[in-house]
Amino acid sequence: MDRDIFKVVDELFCRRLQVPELDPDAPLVDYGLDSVRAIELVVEMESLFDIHISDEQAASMLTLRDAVAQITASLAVPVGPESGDA
Amino acid sequence: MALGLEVPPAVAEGAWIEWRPVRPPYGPHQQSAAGRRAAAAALAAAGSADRIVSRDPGGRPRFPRGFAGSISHTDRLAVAAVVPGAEAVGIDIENATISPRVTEFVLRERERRVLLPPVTRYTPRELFSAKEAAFKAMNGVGTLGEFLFWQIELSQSDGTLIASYGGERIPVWVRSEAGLSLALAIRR
Repeated sequence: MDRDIFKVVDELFCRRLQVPELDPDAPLVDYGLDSVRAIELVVEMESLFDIHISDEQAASMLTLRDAVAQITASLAVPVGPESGDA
Repeated sequence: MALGLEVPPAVAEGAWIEWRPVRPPYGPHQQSAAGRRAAAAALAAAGSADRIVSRDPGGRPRFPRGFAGSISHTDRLAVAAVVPGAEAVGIDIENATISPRVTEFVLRERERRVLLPPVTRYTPRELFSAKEAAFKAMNGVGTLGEFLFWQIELSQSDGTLIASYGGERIPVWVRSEAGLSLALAIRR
């Protein structure tokens, strides 16, 4: 898990959910995450990291660790196939 | 003063709707407990001997067979609806401010164009709540596969709000009062 991304997302989620700390593997709904705040977090993360979060990615963000993993994946630069011409 | 919003008899025909306050300190546990109390009261009013609402592995409430039901809560108020004999029911209450960015995320361009003021009287929060209620009613049937509540499409027909997904259509009733929106969708 990328520590820098984790730190940013952890701080964002703690602030939005108004909790001092989060267990990375605990369901976010256990901290009172509802649908409105979930979507607010998605659009805020899209803005913060300049990424697009798909519906499927958003739906899979059940824990803090899930969210960090999805953002890390979105930030990864896609590597195309070697052309072999160089 | 009533605890929640009134639902017109024509809309709530055959439905039993009960409200319960969330107790301090108003956290997730207290909100869930208030929802269960509201559900138990609605089941009792509807004539169900079984008043326990368990949860399925996905966390969705599982009402007794023959008593379709749904639960929703804010941080201060919970509501439950039970409709005996219905295929599914979805209820949602919402008191949050829906920002323009969240509105844009949840409502498609066409929905924003034809359903928001000045074209209609619906507010973003009412339409958000309508999609949530419709999702609960549609998702409860379990034949539409996995989908997300904002993927439901809203339209209006003869003054009635209609939620559509996967070829299924369901009417949704919404209203707001004193900063609270209530949406109810019944699949009979």
